[in-house]
Amino acid sequence: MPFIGGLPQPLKSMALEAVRGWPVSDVYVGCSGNFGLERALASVPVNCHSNDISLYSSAIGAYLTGAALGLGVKDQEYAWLESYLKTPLDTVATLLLCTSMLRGYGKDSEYWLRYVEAYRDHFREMHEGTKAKAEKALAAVKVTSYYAGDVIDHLSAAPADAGIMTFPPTYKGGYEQLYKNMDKVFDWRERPSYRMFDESSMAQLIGILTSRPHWLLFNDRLIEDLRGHLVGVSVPSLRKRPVYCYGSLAHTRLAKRREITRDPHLKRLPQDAVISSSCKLRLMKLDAPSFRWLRDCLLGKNIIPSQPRLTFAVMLDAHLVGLLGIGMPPGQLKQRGIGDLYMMCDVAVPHHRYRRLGKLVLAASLSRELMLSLSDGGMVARAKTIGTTAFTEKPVSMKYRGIYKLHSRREGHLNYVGELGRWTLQEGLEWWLQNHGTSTN
Amino acid sequence: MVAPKSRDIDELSLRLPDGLTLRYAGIDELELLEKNARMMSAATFNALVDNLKHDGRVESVPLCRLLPDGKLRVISGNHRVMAAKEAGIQRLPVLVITDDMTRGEEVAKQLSHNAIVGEDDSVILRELFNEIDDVVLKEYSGLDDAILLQLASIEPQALTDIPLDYHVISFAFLPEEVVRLLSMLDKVQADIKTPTILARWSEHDRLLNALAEKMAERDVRNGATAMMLLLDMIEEALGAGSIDSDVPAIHAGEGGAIPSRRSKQRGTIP
Repeated sequence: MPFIGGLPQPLKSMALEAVRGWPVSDVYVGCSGNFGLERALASVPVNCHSNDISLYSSAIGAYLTGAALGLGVKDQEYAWLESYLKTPLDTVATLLLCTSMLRGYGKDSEYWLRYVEAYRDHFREMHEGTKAKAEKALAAVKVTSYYAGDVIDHLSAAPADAGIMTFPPTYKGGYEQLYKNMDKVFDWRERPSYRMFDESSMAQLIGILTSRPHWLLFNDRLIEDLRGHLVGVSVPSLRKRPVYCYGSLAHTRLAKRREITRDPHLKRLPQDAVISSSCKLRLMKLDAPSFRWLRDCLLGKNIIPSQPRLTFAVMLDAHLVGLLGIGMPPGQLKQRGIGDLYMMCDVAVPHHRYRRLGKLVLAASLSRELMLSLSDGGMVARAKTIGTTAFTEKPVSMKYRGIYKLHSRREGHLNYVGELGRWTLQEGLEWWLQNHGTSTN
Repeated sequence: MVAPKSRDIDELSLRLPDGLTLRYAGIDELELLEKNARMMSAATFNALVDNLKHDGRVESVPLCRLLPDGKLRVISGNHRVMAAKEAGIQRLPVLVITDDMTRGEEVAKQLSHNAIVGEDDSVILRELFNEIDDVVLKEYSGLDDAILLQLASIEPQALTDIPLDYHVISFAFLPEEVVRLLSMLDKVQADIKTPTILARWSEHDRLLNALAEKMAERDVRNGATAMMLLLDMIEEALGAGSIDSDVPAIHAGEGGAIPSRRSKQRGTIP
């Protein structure tokens, strides 16, 4: 399982660039987490002084500095893990595996039971593999000391001429939530005491950082007081929050993630096309770059795009008539029973003769062929309904009326549900021809 | 009384070559192209909107054609006009071609504005970009250090665990479960006399309904786990000799292509 709360790669690059330019021999890192900063600095001849409060980070710190960790297993169900804690590297690999395995801790559903059992059955070989991976990843990392304790204490103690940098927790109690199962299983005798990181800790931290000549702070908030120190921004996507870098860096840096797109060269339905029951309606699976290309061509620009799990071009014979993007319903909608699946995108190509091509795309969204293709996309085995949302102030969406049922009205949007597998694609085309297929010419 | 700026525009228009004029047009007077090959990603469009909001005005003048009905069709600058609307800009300066044009001439002009464009010298581009010190202004430029390859390179060395070894066949199974599933298929296959297996809608429904029931009954949300539970039932039925060869398959006849049997006792798959 990838480490949660890691620093985006462009910001690690900024840290590397900064330290290369600082006249320092020592760098103090606060909240080392997965040691991403220390690993980024591996090529620079500086001594890193790391810090964190978590068992996982402290195990890496102990391995890199040769210190003792004092770790045992307190949950008897997991006593078998004791034999995988013999060396510091053993411990790092075991804790890495436990970040994944213990997701099933205390859960008694069939899925999680077989998940944990599989880990137990294969732990020996997985542990060997993880150990080799960890050894390689940490081989060049130069950590001179590790302090298991409060980040404020750690950075306050740094000499005045040392560089300091930190990516503190982004929300209160984040660490506790992340490692709660680990704490239930392991007995960490030298567990450090620390203060919960909150707004006042942040203010204190900013005070320490800004009093030094060489520092970096990474944070996902635009901090007004530090505007003058903003030196870098990493923008992952339109839907994700940027992460800002404040401090001392010779050149300001901006890194935006750009989506890869690819023109699939699909011909649009000609404006003089005549649609009849002899036409063949079909779904063509699209890869993500092709879907993004067509989405950007067809979808309104004021909609922030997302990436559905299953994406289709709706084709009439050899011509594109629309796009469908299907995913799982967001948590809130799922709880309110708005479909087993969720239609994240449905859009038709613009057409003069047939103004209601959108309904044909919707007819395809309810087809049995679409239902059948779900298992290929690794989605739920049995889906009977599909939900979607129309963003409108109006009481009814004309686009969905008559084919999807209105589920609920909310301020600024309407939720609709459709019956999945209602017809075959060809039956859907027949329905559309009878109800909406009148040519305006 | 004519406002000084309007007078300036009128005077400037008089000095422009014949067939060309400047206007300060209302955004709703502008008609966008019906067919536009130029595509803009949502991210780029949003960046354009942000810039226009920041400026509060359109600084790059769209080119329009005056139509016989008096409307202005945007030949070049369609995304700029859309972004201006999104940014809440009501009026903008436009350059208007008043000459008559054939459809071919209009399309040629439309395409040429997008096709005949220069390229950037990457070295000078970087040098210019690096003259900008403010990150916000860098964002305004539409470029960034990642695309200009200016970020320090880091050897990616992942510190992650080895994941469980799943074998995927539509559903995600654990290794032992695959062995079990294949062995079960082998047992069933011994009875299948045709090399071709075709599933009809009804078979598909039966399987998924069985899975759905099992998932609901045992509060399981994972399809592969539900498959394992079904295998338990099949094994139990096989062990008890309860799969009855005398009972015809429910899908036999009507061209049904899967020779199979069904269990009639406890653990029957619906």
